[in-house]
Amino acid sequence: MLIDARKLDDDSVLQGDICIVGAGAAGISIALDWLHNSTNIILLESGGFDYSPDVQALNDGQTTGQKYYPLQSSRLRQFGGTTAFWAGMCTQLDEIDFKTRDWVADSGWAFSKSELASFYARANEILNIMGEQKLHHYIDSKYASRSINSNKVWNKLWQHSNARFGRDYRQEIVKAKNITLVTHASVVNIECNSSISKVVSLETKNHSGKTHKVTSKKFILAAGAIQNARLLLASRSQAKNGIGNDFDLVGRYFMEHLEVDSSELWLSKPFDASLYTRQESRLIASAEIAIQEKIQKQYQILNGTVSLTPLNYARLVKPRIQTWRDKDPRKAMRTMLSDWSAASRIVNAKDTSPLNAYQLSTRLEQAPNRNSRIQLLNDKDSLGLAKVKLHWQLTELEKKSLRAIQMIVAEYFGEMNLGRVKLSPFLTSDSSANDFGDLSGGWHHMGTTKMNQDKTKGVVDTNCKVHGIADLYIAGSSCFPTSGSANPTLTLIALSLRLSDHLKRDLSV
Amino acid sequence: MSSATDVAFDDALKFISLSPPPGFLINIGQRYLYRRPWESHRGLLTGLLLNDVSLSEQGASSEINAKIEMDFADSDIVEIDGWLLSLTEARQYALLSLSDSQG
Ligand SMILES: Cc1cc2nc3c(=O)[nH]c(=O)nc-3n(C[C@H](O)[C@H](O)[C@H](O)COP(=O)(O)OP(=O)(O)OC[C@H]3O[C@@H](n4cnc5c(N)ncnc54)[C@H](O)[C@@H]3O)c2cc1C
Repeated sequence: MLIDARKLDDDSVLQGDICIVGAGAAGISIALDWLHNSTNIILLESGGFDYSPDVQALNDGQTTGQKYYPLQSSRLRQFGGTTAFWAGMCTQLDEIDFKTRDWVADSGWAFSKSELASFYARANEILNIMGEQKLHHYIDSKYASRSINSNKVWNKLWQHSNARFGRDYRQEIVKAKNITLVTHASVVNIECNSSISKVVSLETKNHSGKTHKVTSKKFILAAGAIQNARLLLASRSQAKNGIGNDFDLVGRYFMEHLEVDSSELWLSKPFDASLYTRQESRLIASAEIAIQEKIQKQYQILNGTVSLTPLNYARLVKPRIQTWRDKDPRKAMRTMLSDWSAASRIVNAKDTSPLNAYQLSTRLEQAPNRNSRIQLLNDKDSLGLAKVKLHWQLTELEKKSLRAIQMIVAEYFGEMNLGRVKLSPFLTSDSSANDFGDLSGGWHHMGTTKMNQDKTKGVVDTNCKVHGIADLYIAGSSCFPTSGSANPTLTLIALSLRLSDHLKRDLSV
Repeated sequence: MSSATDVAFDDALKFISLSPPPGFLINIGQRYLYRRPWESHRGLLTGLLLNDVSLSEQGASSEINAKIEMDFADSDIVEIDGWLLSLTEARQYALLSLSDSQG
């Protein structure tokens, strides 16, 4: 069923069994998991089915610290969420990402990777990608040489999902008898009972000036890592620091993936790099050079992977942090893509043979860091909700890890007598510790409601329930205690499906 | 018969991609010696390079190559102008630069 909240009577109250806030990758994945049963699901979505500048402006905010994209254009507010323009790159986290590493403060998940195995399999179906075994067969059959594998490095395989949740799942959601999708319903407040141990209702507003309430047995925030934290922090009429924030953790530990051109690889011998370059159109799968777990431990570094781009092309492309500057996500995307096409045109027009060299770009895990955080501003959005400030802060561990990864990759290519690596200037030994060059983020927001069984160390418990609040859950990458270096969506869907299973047990469905 | 030092030069010139001009290698060698001035002696560098290397021309060349690969395997890397090179190859260029400056 579909309701446009702008057309509902003012002050109406909607009642459900499970209320999901946000119809993006996480929220829709959970809703799909409840199709065709008797549980009444209310799926609240801030936007409509199409892009709307007014609604998009609700994402506006400030950034300080490490240079970042405008917050307004780093997420989409419409049914389907940010998958309407994501790149679709998927891979699982590695086993090490779940472990406590004594060289990474606050690392470690409450469970190992195997706990997510069955949920990854279900997430693959939602994202329309292959299972691991099929993927390996595909790569073996398509790429003759999968040579990168040693005691230092290994091939990490990626898949490219073409899923657009808004397009792919709209009909199924709208037609489902037990699901009520409410568009133009932006949650602006979480109201709890007097002891703040249970949610009483959610308040939603829209640009038609109407306010509604939703009551439910269970509530799930699935609005993205920045908005999940914002909603908890901004619901402060009963708890002065916000809901679930007794230990000053909400909004802290914001993590992104560092994505940066980190070195050049100059080859002395032929090397088939096609698997690593993502140069094909309609790409299905690719690989990045990953660092073996024992080497990460030996060097005491964060997890990261390296991809290759032909250098003659890469040198013409501007770092994304320079091209993605517009607050309007459509314009930001257009500027970035036209920079890429201009570079391709120049490369294709040139009559010269390509350089036997590649740009190495590193995708790095960010270390959990209390001071990298989301906070509320005094300024409010058009629906009266306090805007947020993101302070993105990196540490010397990221810098050290970026450098070490280039060394490890250089060792591999040197040992194989294939070529030599030259560091980007910001990574040379005489660069300053806080110089990160033209570092971009992956538009991956994580960690702001991190999971830990101990309520003094995490906002949610291992079932993604907010500590101290009986019926409030969080879905998405805001629950990640560490980020790994894998893009988050596949894992956040797996984690959301795990939450969904937990709720089925809890509600005896 | 070539001297041990000549063998090292020849091998140095087999440096990586695009056959970089000797000037590039000499520059790298000079930068290496700037950081490790105590190695600025032909005799010392030749000794360091050819330690455990047989002196036949062919043998030296492939053994030095193997030494370079072993450096990478053992993380014996030096950074010069951003290049991540094996210690052995950096010493080859250092030797080349000394010989160049000596005419
Ligand atoms: C350019 C770009 C490329 C990307 N490429 C990749 C990639 O290749 N691989 C990858 O894994 N990830 C990628 N991502 C990240 C990916 O899009 C996110 O990880 C994913 O969409 C997060 O899912 P989500 O459901 O948590 O949030 P979203 O998809 O952002 O959905 C959140 C939903 O909540 C709604 N909402 C927000 N606030 C409220 C509120 N107060 N009330 C009601 N509803 C609300 C929003 O309108 C939205 O529909 C990319 C992101 C960008 C911007």
